[in-house]
Amino acid sequence: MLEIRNLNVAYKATTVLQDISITLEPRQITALIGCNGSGKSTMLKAIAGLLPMSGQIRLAGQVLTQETAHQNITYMPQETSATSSLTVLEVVLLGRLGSLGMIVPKQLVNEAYQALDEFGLSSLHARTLDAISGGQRQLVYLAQAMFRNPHVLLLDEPTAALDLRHQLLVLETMQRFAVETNGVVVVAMHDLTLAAQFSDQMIGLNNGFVQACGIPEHVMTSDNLREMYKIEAEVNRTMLGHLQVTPLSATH
Amino acid sequence: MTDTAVAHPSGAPNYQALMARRLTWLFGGVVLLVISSIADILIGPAFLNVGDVVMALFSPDSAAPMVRIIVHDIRLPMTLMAVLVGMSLGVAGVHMQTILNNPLASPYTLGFSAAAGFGAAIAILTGITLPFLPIMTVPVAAFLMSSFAAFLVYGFARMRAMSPEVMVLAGIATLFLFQSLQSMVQYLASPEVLQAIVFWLFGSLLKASWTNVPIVAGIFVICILALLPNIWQLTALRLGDERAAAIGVNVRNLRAKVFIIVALLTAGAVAFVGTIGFIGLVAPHIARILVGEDQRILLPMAAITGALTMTLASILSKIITPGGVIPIGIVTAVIGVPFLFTLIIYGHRRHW
Repeated sequence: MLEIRNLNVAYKATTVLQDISITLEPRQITALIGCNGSGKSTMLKAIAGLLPMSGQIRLAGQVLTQETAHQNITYMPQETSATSSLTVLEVVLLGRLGSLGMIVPKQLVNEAYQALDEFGLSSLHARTLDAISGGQRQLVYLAQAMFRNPHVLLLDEPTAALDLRHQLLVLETMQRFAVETNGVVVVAMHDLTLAAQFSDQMIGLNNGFVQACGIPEHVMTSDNLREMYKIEAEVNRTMLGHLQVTPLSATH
Repeated sequence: MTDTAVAHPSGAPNYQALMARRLTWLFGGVVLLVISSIADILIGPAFLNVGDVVMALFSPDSAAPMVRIIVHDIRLPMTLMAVLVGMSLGVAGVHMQTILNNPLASPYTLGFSAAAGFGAAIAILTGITLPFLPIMTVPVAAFLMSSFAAFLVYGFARMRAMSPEVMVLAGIATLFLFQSLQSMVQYLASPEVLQAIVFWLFGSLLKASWTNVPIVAGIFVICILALLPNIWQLTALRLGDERAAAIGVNVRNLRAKVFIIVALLTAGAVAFVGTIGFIGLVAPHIARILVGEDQRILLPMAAITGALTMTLASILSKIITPGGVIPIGIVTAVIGVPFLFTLIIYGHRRHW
């Protein structure tokens, strides 16, 4: 269980996150939604111990320090273009930076290769990062994140650059991770329909505040979406029972 | 193929093959470097014959005194200096490009060498000498001024969380500052002094001696030893700051540390031989194209390509004008550019 108490983050004089207290259960996927600049990425980075913040974060009852946060929590940033000619396998290997010495053990290489294979990427192992597509890169980064064997997985818009099949691959991996490893998953997403479909809990951020928190039905309402995104939207259930958001217009 | 092989694909053989290929390049580089170093010792304006040079190298006592002095006290230090300066600038370049996240960066981008030039020019102009080691006056002045420039850039960058953009900006400002100060000194100097300053600025291995070769070697060894514990973190930095931080790299501290090492390597190299351009820019690219970005291989490969370019340039500088030696700083680009262009055109790998 990951407990966040009174999390505050400020850049210089600007408050980015204000007094956030939430509890994240293992085996559950929490979707973080909110408009651009609402603080989603900041919140993920703060939990991962990558930003100066105040407040307390406890994992399984233990207060996290920056060091234990690095050991237990893996944060995957948004997809960016790559200029690096590191090979795909090297990128995955770097996930276990602490275990890499002047000689890389065979076992570790095999495990990294297997992590790639989980995503059907093992044939790309020798390609360089700048020579594969943005979608493939995103999967490579996800393979790296899984290779770290984290207890908590924080994903920042992992589906943004991907086609539908790859989006599902990422989201299913995330689900499998949560169930198989008893892990905590927090995922920031812009696709609300997909977010509702794959999450057990949703947190709606609005200007650094928690606008709404709870099961998707309670968070994804027309009222909340109007507050958070400044849009008029219709929220329906599909025939299979999934929540579906239809954006109608931007309010002024 | 058995079922288990399908379920648990084995990556190790593939990876080992890749590493073997890279090590082959590295080994090939070492062989070429040894050959070019020997050639560099054999060639010189004194037109000694090969047998005499070899004898002077391996049994100095039986060689003619003149040959012994030329080989032992002039050519050998020059070749060693070429190798050491090439290695220092190659390593400095590869890490400057890594920490600034910029393929155009080199040890000269941040004004270290312009500052060294200014320090040397001041020492030559004023004619002041160090009390006990007058011969070290110009190198010490160059080293100190170069360190001062590094300190200046470092100070500004530190105020802004060591951001690469601020470093490049502060560095280029420093570069222009010291270049203009250098020009001012040249303008004020008398023709004889001006000639001495310009000669220093061209960069020449003729200043190599048994006093300064060990100093450059010492600085190089210390810097490499300081870099080794961070070798994987430097590789990780090529994923970008955010991703490197996410896998546990303290990006700010790493950048600060490596910056200081690069400054030291550059200052050590240019203090004795003057400004030798281009090696620090081109050697890292050649190395990266050949062996990729794993710093365990890239670091030695950049050192070797730097040293190889330097020794080849040294040979060229001696054969362009028979009986004379052109300052090496003038010809390094002549050697480096065709080399780099060939790799860019024929290399299959994308680089940077």
